[in-house]
Amino acid sequence: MSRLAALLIALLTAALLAISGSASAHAAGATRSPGTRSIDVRVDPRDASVKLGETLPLHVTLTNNGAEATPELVLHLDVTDPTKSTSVDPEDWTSTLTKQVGAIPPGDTRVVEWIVQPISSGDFVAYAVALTPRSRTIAASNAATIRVEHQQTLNPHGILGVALGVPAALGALLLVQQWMARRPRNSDQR
Amino acid sequence: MTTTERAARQHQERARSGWRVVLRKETADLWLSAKGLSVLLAFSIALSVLAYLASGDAAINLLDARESVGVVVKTAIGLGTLTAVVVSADAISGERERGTLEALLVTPVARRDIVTGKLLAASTMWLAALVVALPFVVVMADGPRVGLDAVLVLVISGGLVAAALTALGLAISSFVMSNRASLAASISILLMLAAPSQLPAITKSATLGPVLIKANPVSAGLTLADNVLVKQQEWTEQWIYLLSPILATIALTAAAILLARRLQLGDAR
Repeated sequence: MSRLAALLIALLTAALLAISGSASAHAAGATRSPGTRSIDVRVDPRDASVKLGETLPLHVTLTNNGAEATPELVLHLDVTDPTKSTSVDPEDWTSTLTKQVGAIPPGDTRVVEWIVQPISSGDFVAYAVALTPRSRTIAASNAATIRVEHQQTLNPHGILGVALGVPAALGALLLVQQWMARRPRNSDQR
Repeated sequence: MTTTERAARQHQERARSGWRVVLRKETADLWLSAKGLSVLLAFSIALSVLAYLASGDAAINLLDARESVGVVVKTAIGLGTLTAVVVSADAISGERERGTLEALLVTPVARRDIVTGKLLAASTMWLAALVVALPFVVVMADGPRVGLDAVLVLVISGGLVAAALTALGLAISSFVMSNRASLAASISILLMLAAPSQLPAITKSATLGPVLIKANPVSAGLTLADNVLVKQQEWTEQWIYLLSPILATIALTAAAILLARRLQLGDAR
């Protein structure tokens, strides 16, 4: 009877551990395939603020915490607006959305850098996904929040003077010409 | 030399330099009336707005500095050519419609000289547009090399494209009776010739596309501007893009002068 009770307790503990493991994986937001749950993907900085037109380096760190080497990996970056107030085309932010990482040996780390340049202001979220070449998701990263502030320049590259001055000079010339044309000539007055 | 001979010789010399007289009169008409300056003012406003927007994008790195100069140079070539075409397309058909062509044709000036003088006078519109575009290009250029390239593209490529299309406008104006039809035909042809350079995806995918771009003087000139200013290609690689503008300038100028022989009063109604 005591053996049966011990077996039941052991089964319950195993079930509870399995449920808690699954719940923590979901809480972390990672989608992992069986056998490769030891890969961590992290995007840094987690919070960033840039002005429109500036570039921002994003470092994606992949760590293999498992005992086996990972399969050949491809890292894909995506940018989205969680509030959906701005439409985002990640290709406008960077021309290379996908980068080859290759296999990562156990205990090893790879750092991949993206230089992104936001093209509109707003609050965005960037995240990276590690995939196998067959596009099976291995792991997803944290969501890095990026705040892009609007930037306005009144006189970009000193063009304002020319942009206003040239038409103004031509307009003034036209007015003078019209005034001269309308002015009665001395010969007409006589 | 008798008085009669002297008078005949003077008459011949006057007739020989007739194109100069026409050029002087037409240039004065263009620039001393509101016509030339009004068109140039519209051109400068369009270029100002575009240059300001392009510089704004370049200042916050949304547009490459060379690309912003390229946009302004290509627009200056396109709009500058359009201003010259508007003047040349009105040159003969406008006189015909206003009823002043008859008075011009009875002067001792040869018809060929009338057309030559009018062609050169219409070309001053492009020269003025070039002078207006230069300050924009110089201010926007990121370094002396880009500035020099931009000025050379404007002068060489823009000059050839404008010369070819100005001659085309004049040729159309010579044989089309209605001024409105002359303007519509000339501007439509300019737009049609400029269109392929604005459709990169279509023109590049087709096998015949690059050939057509090089054969078309307007798209060849605009592509040269893009190659030199944006893609930073060497000038030595661009000779192929100058062939059709040079040939078109020679052929269309010759056509405009040859059509002068058939210049008729016609019925402008």
